[in-house]
Amino acid sequence: MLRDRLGKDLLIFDGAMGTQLQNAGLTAGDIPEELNIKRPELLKSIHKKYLDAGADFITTNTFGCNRLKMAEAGNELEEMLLAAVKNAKEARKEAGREEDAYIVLDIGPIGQLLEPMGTLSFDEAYDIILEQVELVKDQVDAVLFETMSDLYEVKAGVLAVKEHTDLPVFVTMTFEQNARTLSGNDPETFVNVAEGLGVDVLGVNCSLGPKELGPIIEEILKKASVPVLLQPNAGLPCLEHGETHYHVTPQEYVQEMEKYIKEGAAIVGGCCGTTPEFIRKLSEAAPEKVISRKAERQTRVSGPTQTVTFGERVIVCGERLNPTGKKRMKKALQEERYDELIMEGIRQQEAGAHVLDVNVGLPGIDEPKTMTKVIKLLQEVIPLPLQIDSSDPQAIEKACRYYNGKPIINSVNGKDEVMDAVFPIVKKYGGVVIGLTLDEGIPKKAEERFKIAEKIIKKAGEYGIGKEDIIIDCLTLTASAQQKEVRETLRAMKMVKKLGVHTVLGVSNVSFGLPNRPLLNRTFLTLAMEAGLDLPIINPLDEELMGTIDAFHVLFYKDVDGKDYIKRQSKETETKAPVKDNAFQLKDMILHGLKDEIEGGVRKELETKKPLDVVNGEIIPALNAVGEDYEKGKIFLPQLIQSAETTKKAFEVIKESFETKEGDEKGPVIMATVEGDIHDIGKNIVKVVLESYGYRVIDLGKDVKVEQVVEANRKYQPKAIGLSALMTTTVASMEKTIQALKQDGCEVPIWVGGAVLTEDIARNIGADYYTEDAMASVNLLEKILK
Amino acid sequence: MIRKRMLKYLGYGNGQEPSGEIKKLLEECLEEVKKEACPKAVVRKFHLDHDPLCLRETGDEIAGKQIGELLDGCEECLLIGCTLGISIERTIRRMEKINMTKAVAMDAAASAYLECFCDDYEGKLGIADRTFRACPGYGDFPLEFNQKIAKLLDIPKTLGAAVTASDLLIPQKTMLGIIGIGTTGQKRNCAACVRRKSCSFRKRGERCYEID
Repeated sequence: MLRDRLGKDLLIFDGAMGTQLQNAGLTAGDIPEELNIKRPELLKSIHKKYLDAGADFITTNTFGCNRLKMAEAGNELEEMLLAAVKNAKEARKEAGREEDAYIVLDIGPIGQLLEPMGTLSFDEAYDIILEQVELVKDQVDAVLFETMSDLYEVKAGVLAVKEHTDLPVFVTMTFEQNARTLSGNDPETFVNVAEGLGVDVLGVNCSLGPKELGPIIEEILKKASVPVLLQPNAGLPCLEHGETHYHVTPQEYVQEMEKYIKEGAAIVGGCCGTTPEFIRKLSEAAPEKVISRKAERQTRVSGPTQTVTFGERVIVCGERLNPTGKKRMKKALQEERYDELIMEGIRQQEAGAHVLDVNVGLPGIDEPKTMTKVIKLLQEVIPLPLQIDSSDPQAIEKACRYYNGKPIINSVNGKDEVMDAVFPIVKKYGGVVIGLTLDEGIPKKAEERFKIAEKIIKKAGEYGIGKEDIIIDCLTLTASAQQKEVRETLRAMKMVKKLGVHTVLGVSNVSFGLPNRPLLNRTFLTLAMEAGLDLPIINPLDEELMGTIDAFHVLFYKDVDGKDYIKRQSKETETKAPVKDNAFQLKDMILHGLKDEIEGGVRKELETKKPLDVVNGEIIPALNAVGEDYEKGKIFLPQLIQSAETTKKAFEVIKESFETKEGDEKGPVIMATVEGDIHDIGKNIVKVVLESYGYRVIDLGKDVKVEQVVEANRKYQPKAIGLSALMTTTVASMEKTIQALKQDGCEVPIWVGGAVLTEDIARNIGADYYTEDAMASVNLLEKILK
Repeated sequence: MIRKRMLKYLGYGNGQEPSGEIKKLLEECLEEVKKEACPKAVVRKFHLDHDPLCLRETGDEIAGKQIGELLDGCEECLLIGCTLGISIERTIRRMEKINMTKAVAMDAAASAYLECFCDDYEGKLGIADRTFRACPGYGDFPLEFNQKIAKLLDIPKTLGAAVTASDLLIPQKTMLGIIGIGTTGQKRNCAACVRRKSCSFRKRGERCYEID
């Protein structure tokens, strides 16, 4: 069995396929996969050469054999895949290696970027890969995802294989010289996420030679627990006369590779520029057995492009993405205004949080759907690992499936049924799970909580979840209600730490119902950190609380020489300098776009004036002046937006001071960048400026499907609909959207804008109005919505 | 040059300069873009056949009157691709959530940076007789040709970029183009542009491209 040999016998992979095909006359524009059918003998001979050279694995010639890349091929996808496997099998037979050589289904990147940066959805990626796998799964020994640059695509692929086969899965990613993939993944995040997903082998291939890949390979060998596969290029690619060449000789290649074999690499082969000769030399030099290495087993959680490792320092988990007790967040969630959540997330990150807890639990809300949506939106702009906080296993499962990285899962407790529901999810998708030390209730004594922790760890072990993937919560109790038990939490934590797991606490629970809560919170936090707390769930915007952690790191010799403390705390003192009394009038603040000062300005005005007088007497005239200056070319786009953002802030302050009735708001208007189009900065500019004029804008985002616009029109019954598209190709989908809206009975005005649009085109595609820029949109709506 | 182009994209006319807080903000954005961008380029040479105009090695036809005139007399061409990478894209999208003014400024700075990076890269190739870089989607050069260039340059692998089903490029700050070799070709002009009658650059007496 292949699985029994992995990590024990040192195995040899084949070398480059593309290089061999080019030598045989493959030229630019040719589809290599067609050769599986057109020139089977050529393919067989390449495979056979590698087998004869000592390779234990041959990879099928199917790198780009997916339905997107093969759309223009002269043969059917199925035919090319089956022929590729057939060639490999026949070559193996001819080489007399049927007993000890393996055929690996080769899968390269799909060639489209995944959401949220690209347009390909996770589910589409999954389907595309599954199609490839299903066609040949019974005829291959393993599946290899190679030259991957996006871990999210890797996740879709690994799940597709594991949910439909028992085949071993190998994954190699391609790193640039800056030690990141082109999608921004680093080696540590790769190892953490891929191992979480349960891959059998991971490693690196392509881009650089064995020497240049050194630091990346070393890091992977240090961190990976599973066998490591290495397939570098034959040196750095050099462009000569428009063609790529590689200059490292087989000897030099093997010399470099031997170093990594000594450090514990389990499978070695080659990528671009390598030939059967490289593989022969490698095979001759390699020992029979893998040299054992000890990988660090650490608790690590990952976002899309960064990983947080538990251990030395206290990790801060931001608590604010949670509607419990927060009216504003509750309302935002109910009204699907997710921008507010994203901004709250960014604020916490900027305040120093390392992980963000995400909880969307509200009565009446579709938690699995909302959680998934919010996580996707957060991950588009926030690289931090997230903590999926829910008591609904379905919501946890769905969130884990679409999460990009390795999350924390909050939580299980000592009840068997809860663990039985959640542990399989943790194991399947890879996650670090929080275990609450309660079952039927919260035990009073530390010893009892310790017992539950033991039970959780044991049961997790039965599901194949190691201690490094468990964090125990000894539960903070409220000092006002259970004063006597507060110390039990600390005592329990000290005991639990001896089990070799990390700990978490929701700190602020301690102070409910008592005055000066921040004082109790930071005192308790200090005591808890001393007792071994690794992951306090706190409000990172509380500077004193965050300062407490900085101080703890100095006093416990975790921040050597107090470098971080000095850096942060000296900055604190600087920013706390008293704010100058500003002489600007409110009107000037808007004209100059003084965003940081507008709040104070509005409040000062409100001391003596009624809110409506401030709006009509100060804000609106200032805004009109800005608009006029822009149209006259006296000010430019940045000032226009800056003033709009300042005005928006002013309105927010005004709104706080008196309840706006529905009728006070203008609109609503729906805005969307149409299907297939991802360029939405123009639409976003229009949105900000409209909002500054008091319009409620329902922003459907970018690449918005036709049906979604139709559905939103029904749901929100807007006063107008604005659509944007950048290029001619997406103007077509704008036309489709307009037609669909009209067919659905939409009678509200539709206005359009975008780089290649003109009055004429707008008319031709059935739009009611065309506007050139943001100010023109304001002028239009002011005119037609009166 | 980057700064000059950035201002142009933000609507500043020739010689118009930002001042005060905005000036500071724009400078900051430009620095941030320079720091965050991971510029990468790829180029590959092909022969051209004429009547109809196509790449000899692949037979891919190049449609469009203007591009035909530009490449007339060129025996060879370069397909070129440049990108600033995905991380700058993330930064700008994030900025759109918290500070639209900065997002717009960074977007303009990134466009300017990409243009300049591409010009520099071409300059370093040291080809004397060459046309300007023509990009699909401009004039009557069909946007669909992005698909061909993307495939021949293998941009997912070489640039970490992709062309969507609607022929748009991701990351957004990515550029694909073609350069004719063997003649200097004609000068850039607006004749085939859909916006020539409503172009805000033209209204200011400018062009969206650098005037030769």
